[in-house]
Amino acid sequence: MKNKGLMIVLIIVAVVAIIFGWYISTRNSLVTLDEQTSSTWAEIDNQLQRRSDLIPNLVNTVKGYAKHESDVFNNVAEARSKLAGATTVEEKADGYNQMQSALGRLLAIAENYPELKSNTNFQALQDELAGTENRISVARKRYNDSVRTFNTKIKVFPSSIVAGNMGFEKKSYFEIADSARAVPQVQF
Amino acid sequence: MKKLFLLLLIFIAASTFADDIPGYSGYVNDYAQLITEKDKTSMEEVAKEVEEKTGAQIAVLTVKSMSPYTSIDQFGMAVAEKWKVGEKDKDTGIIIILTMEERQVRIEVGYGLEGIINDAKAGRIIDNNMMPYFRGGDFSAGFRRGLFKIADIIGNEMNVELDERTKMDNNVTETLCMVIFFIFIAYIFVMMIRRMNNAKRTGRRYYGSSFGTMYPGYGHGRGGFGGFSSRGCGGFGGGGFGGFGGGGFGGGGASRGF
Repeated sequence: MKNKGLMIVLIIVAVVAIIFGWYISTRNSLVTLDEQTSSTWAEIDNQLQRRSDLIPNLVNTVKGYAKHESDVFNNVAEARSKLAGATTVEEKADGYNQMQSALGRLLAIAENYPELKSNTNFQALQDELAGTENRISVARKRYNDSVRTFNTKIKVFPSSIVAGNMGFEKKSYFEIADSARAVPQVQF
Repeated sequence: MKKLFLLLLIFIAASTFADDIPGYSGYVNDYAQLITEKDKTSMEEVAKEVEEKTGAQIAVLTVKSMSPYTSIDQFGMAVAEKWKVGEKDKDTGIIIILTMEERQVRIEVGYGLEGIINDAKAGRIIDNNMMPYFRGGDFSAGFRRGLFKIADIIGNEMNVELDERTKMDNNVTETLCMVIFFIFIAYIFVMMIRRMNNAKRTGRRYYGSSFGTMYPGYGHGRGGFGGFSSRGCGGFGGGGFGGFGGGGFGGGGASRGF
């Protein structure tokens, strides 16, 4: 009889220990996933900044050949300041899309100015721009993948209980317009 | 158990089929068959040397088509993520990729080399070192010049002396090798005549095995010539490729259509 009571206590202790262990490990993996979304987001932010830094140089180069296209330059400047003021993921994605179309128009100008097109500085900037854009798309994919994993984990039972306790909420994807690439491929 | 094993096998087979990125077998992976054997050897030797001296890894991939990928940027990134070219943690890897059907070429630069070869520089390497040959249809030479240029830049930036070959054209090396080779042959010839004359004088016959004893290396087939390949003369294997190291990529580099 005494033995049976001890057994029950032991089983309860074991079950509690298992649940506790599961809770801790789930909690830790959620924290890791959360960190992952932050670090992958930081990379997008980084590259957006890098692109913004390239723009004044690019605009000045184009201005040297096509001064009168002020509309286009204003658009770019506007998109740039909008992006600089953006804080949330959605705002940044919005700013990105606006910048994308403004840059697309800026680069389209180049098509009308053969001298600009063959300017080595312009070509170098165009390469840098294309590279940065590609980095953004790589970073975007990595960020969205990590958000997908995170969002699934906090929604699915039983880890959803832990997520609820910790106050984790669904994160937003970095979604961009499906429009054409801002930087045209350099063709020979 | 047997069934489980079979299922596993099928699963593995299916997953490899589903994977659209070709594997690698060395530094140069020429699936589109554009690169001559000679260029492949010298490129692999240079890549090997760069790896030994700097840790950086240079890979080459040509494919007939990159389908189902629609842009060379995405394809390049997928290759980079699968191959993981470059030293782990340092991420010093670089891949030159060409897809024949889509007529695209790209230099994919790993994180650790982005400082040395930025996007503009990658673009210039394609424009100045590769494109002139591509336009003439000589892809092999274009790749050779591109890879040598990259090796040269990495060598300079990391302060290591690379074989002079990266600076001169293959043809120069080749001429030099030919000259050395002819001197070697001429030497053998002269020695043989001398010995034959000697033999006549002393009345001994001098054919047959004499050749092997005079020049032991020659008797063992390739053994005697082995020394050439390290100087870039022969076609005797680049050898000693140890796989890529686990480098990371972030999408740096440049692409062109040709």
